[in-house]
Amino acid sequence: MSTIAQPSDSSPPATPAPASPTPADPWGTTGATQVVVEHISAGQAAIRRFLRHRLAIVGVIVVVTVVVMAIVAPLLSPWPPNYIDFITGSRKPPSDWHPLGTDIVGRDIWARLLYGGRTSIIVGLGAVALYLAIGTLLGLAAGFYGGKVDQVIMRFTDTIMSLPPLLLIIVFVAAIGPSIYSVITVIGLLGWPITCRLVRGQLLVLRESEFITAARVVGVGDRTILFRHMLPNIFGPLTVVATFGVATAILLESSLSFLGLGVRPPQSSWGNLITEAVNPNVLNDVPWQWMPAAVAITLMVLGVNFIGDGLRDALDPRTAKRG
Amino acid sequence: MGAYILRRLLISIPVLLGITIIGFVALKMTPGDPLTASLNPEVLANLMSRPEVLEAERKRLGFDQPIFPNQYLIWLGKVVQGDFGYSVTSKRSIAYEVGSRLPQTLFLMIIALTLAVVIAIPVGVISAVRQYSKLDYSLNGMAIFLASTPVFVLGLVFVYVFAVNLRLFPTSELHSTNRHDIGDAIWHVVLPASVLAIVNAAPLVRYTRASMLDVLSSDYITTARAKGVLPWLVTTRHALRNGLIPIITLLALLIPESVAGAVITEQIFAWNGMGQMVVKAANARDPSLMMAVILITGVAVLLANLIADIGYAMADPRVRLDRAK
Repeated sequence: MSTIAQPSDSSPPATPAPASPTPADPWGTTGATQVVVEHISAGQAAIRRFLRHRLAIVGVIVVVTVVVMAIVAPLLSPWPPNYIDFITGSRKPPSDWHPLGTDIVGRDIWARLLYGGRTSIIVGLGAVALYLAIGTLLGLAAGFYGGKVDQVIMRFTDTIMSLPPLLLIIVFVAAIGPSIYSVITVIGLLGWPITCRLVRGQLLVLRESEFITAARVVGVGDRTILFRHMLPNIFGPLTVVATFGVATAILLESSLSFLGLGVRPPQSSWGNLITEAVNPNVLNDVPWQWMPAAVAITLMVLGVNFIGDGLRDALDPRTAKRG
Repeated sequence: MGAYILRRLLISIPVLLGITIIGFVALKMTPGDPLTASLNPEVLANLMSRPEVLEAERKRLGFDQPIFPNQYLIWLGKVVQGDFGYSVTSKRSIAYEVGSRLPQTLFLMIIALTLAVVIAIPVGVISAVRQYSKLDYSLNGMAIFLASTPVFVLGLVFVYVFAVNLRLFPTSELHSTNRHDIGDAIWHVVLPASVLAIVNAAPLVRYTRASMLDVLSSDYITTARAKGVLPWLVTTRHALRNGLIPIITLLALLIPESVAGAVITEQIFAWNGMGQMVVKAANARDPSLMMAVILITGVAVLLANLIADIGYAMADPRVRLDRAK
């Protein structure tokens, strides 16, 4: 049986709705259709609000462009990303052969930029998928069962949240050994607290709501209530958290690769394209080495953040007005 | 107050233990002989020729025992006595490694955070007071843009513009060769501190604005305005004081991050602080050094939270620290 106390004033399912339907209109639908002039669902309304958010649309355009370019990378660049062009040589400025020039060993920067985009997208999506799963499960457990389970999970969450993320990730990635997989795993294993808190908070509210009480009275089991009735109600806020999470994960990956602790060379990443620029000579004399990647990361992160802003305003109209 | 601080410190001990346990177990899984990380390298070099002594030493230090809890407790016992072990790479004691770098990091961090607060709070307040004005849009837009710019991009652009091209500031390092005076140090700290300040200021501006907007719409502000209190006094005396509370929380999160080293900023500017040590430790998989980093970060987190609590009490007289909840 469930561990949650039923509210004492819960109404039995047989009680009719406040506006009692007339015999001619047993479901009270005619009244509703008359009031709602234009029938749009909550989802459609959210989509409209999103489409009206100008920055979000800019974000969508930027992100879609980057994603498509990363997917069709081989079509956009004749050079394989790790191919060293000895004929052109290293550190050559942009030319017809190499639209963005070559790097310090003679690889095509444009190709490396495109394939670096792949790395960013894979890490962004992979890490967020992992921590959404962990955070949602832990949050559901904490919010649904309450009591000791809740206390233990939340104490753990607070501990992880209080630590500086980049530092923690550096330590753990180094411990496992840097690679794209360890970056995804570590960001995924350390990133869940925000999701967990959100899910728990939403669940605490949902738990007291009438439709859940109604479901319980009818005799719906714990698992069905959790996954069929409660979880779909959290999808909105989860989407927002996931979007911002992707931006953060992309930033973290590029930071790690920049420090030489992320994606292993020769696999390219926007972060490791920029690493060379720490040397002031490269910074000044080979700007085509680092500038495109710098612009790409900034645009991508900005774009994803704009989408997140738009989603937040669209899915939660109450918070839209607060800056 | 004293009793409160003491109680908070006692409560925080389990958290600190938790952090170090997680770190310890994770680091023990890294490949490499733990013996090299815990013995004085000179002693170790002498012992290398005698494997049976090494084996005995390994036993004495407990490396044949389970990682948790036995090895962890041994490590903890040593740390309590001030023995943090040795760095594998530099062959120096951890105490020396940390001691020689912490001052540089604190120097950079204090300047950067002060700058960030001095810039961000007024900007956030102005943005909130003039909500939906052009000024608000441009300030807020700039904050969003800067918050999305990776630190290393911002840092490199700064070096590119101000150091390499304009030659106003040095590109890196703590001081010029053969110069150790304060003027030279300040000249060197300008660029890294500005980068760090801007990066930290961007979220601060957004928080300040949101928090001020919340407060400015409350009834007591309307009352104050209705009574005829000067507008700027309403903003500074009445609203800001309440609006500061969430900002203190954010600051408490920024402090440990900076103590552990503005990892990326220090890397770009070759600033020989904790951040560089972290990267070095991670690249070399130096377990003792990384453990020290985790421990220091944990302590910094707890101290920052304590400072935040005291800050709440100062900003809001209703908050009483001494009374139990």
